[in-house]
Amino acid sequence: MKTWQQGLTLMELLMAMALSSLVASAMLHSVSLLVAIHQQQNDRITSWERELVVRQTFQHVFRRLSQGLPWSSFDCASDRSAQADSLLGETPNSLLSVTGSDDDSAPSRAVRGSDVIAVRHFGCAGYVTEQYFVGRHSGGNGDERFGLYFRERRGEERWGYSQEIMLGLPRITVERCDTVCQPAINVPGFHPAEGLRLAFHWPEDVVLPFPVSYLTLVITPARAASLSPGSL
Amino acid sequence: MLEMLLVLTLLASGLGAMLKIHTLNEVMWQRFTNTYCAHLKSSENAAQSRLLDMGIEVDWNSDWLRQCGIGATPRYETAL
Repeated sequence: MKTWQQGLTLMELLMAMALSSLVASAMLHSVSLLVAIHQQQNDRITSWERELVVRQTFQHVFRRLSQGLPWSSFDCASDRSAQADSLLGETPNSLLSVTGSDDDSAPSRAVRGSDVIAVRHFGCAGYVTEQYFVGRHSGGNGDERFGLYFRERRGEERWGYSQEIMLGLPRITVERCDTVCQPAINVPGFHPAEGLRLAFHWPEDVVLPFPVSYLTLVITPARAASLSPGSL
Repeated sequence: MLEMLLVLTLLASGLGAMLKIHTLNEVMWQRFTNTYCAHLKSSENAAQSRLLDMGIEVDWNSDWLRQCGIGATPRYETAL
């Protein structure tokens, strides 16, 4: 058999090369498997974190609202920003409280320039409509603000419901519960709701065992009219 | 021959370690989802019974948590 200079046979050399390539391939595969496991876990954690953040945010905002907002006597004609700010503990001239939009093809100015990380639709007299929403915003410098905002919709719906939805949620649907829980839109009259049921529709890339998650909130009888903003 | 045995042992132990990591990962994840799903279920049940106590008919899709916490494969599983 032909021998190498150091006394290695060709067969031994070939075997060493094969083993080396086997080890190298196994190590590469291990690294890629570890990366895949890490990525999978990361996706899972991110998805569940989003679920948790959405749930906690709406619960938190709702708790403050159910304590602070006069569900049965919210005056639609009043200065919405100032009222919301005072009720939610914000300064009246908060930049995030600019309501409406000059351009009805764009989201309201309350949203523009800040990341909307929470939205809750809210209406007059305890109504949940598409016109009012409570927003939790990230100002870019780390601080977060709450506010009650009004979204203008003139004529055609040129920008949709989904454009002011937090964390990439494609859709939030709201049911108000009186004698039965029904979609909040197209309910005539002004009556305080007994409860709300919010549905969060998740994007398809979210790793959750359900495509839609629900949050049911029971509204305790309004005691807000007697509460001062400072008590929030 | 001895070298080959050593290499094969190394590979086998590496594979075993990877499997262990993967299994532990899945077990821990399952524990987390079980806890979270139990929390969601109890929260939903509490709200539902409160509304029922108030005389509100609850006819919504209450089985949205049916697949939650039973080891179901997520809708969009990341391929390993």
